[in-house]
Amino acid sequence: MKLYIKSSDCISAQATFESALPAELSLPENGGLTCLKPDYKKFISPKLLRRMSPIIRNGVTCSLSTLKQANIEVPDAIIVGTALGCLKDTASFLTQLIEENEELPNPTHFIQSTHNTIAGQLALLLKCTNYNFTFSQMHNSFECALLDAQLMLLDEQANNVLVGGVDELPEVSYELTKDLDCYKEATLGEGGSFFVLSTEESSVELKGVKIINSPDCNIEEELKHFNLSINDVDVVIGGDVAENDATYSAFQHKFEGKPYVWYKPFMGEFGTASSMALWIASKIIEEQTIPQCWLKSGMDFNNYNNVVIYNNVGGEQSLIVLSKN
Amino acid sequence: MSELKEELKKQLIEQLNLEDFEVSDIDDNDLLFGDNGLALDSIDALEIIVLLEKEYGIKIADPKQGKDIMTSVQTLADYIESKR
Repeated sequence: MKLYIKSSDCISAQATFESALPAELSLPENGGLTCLKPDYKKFISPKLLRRMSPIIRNGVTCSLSTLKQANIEVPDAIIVGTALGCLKDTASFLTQLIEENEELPNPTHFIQSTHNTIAGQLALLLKCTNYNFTFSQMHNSFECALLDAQLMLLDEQANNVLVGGVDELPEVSYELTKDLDCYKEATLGEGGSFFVLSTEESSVELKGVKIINSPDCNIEEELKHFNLSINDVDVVIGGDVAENDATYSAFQHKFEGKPYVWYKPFMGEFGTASSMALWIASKIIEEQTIPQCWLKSGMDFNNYNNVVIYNNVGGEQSLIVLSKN
Repeated sequence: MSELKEELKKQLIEQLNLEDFEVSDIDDNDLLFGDNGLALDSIDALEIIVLLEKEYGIKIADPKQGKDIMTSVQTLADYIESKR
């Protein structure tokens, strides 16, 4: 059975929401890459919106837009990946506990601080009592969600699954994480990308997702799982955080001469950043073109069949492969 | 009393994230709950209970009283005044 991406949307530091792959990118002078705010009130009533922190607003808005594009009111499953969940509410709640000596914390921050708030809010809004799951596996959180969606569809438990990845970067966590060794060269960021993964045919086929649980990645061997060789690959999307990111140099070398797309310097590094890469990959296949600003190397040649996404953060590795149908 | 009501309105806007409201948008007798007023909900009721205890040192001992106390900014202010 083949699986397809029926619709997708992305909220990020770039103008990606309800949009094609942007032809121009903007970068902040300093600090993290925070999301451009869409008109949330188009999707969420002000009464509900006032209580939602940025990750919930972005996750819910992006999901509702993705479902609308697919003409689906209630999906067969809602599966969300988030590495660190609702950090802003968690930080507010914990700060209150400390400052007020563990007395009288405000209920809203506590209620909304759990990782599954986004998937839960979606279920409430859509009145969706179907399968609802949240994966939190640090840099493979989105991949776990995608793998679960893939298994559900292949097992014929669902026809249309809403699946996505979302994380937020409140000021408090930016200050705490910006100097960590694992993010030394990276610009931290936030965002969310959601997809309707379906058994119904569309132009973008999801060949599969593979989480690589070993210190090395033999790309030739890994591609065999998708019945592909290096020569079959038309575009590569790498998780490079900087021009000379040593983590990806050997990988990039294998695909010399092919278009090599990078995104983390413009969208930021975060636990579910690979969901951004999947959105970019699906746009490349739909539009059959890559704006120059996304290319780290290689040229746009307007004919793309197979796209490989590789992510590696501190040894947590994954491959996602898409093909043109 | 009018100062207290002004203060309460500011606290409600801040605590309940009433993003589109200014103090001048809330009348003293506007209903806090229900569709004809501010349309607050049960989580807001919890927030108001915490606000009363934190800011004014007042506990609502009898939950049955809550509905009458939290009818409007006016009834909240009356209750706070009666406890001072």
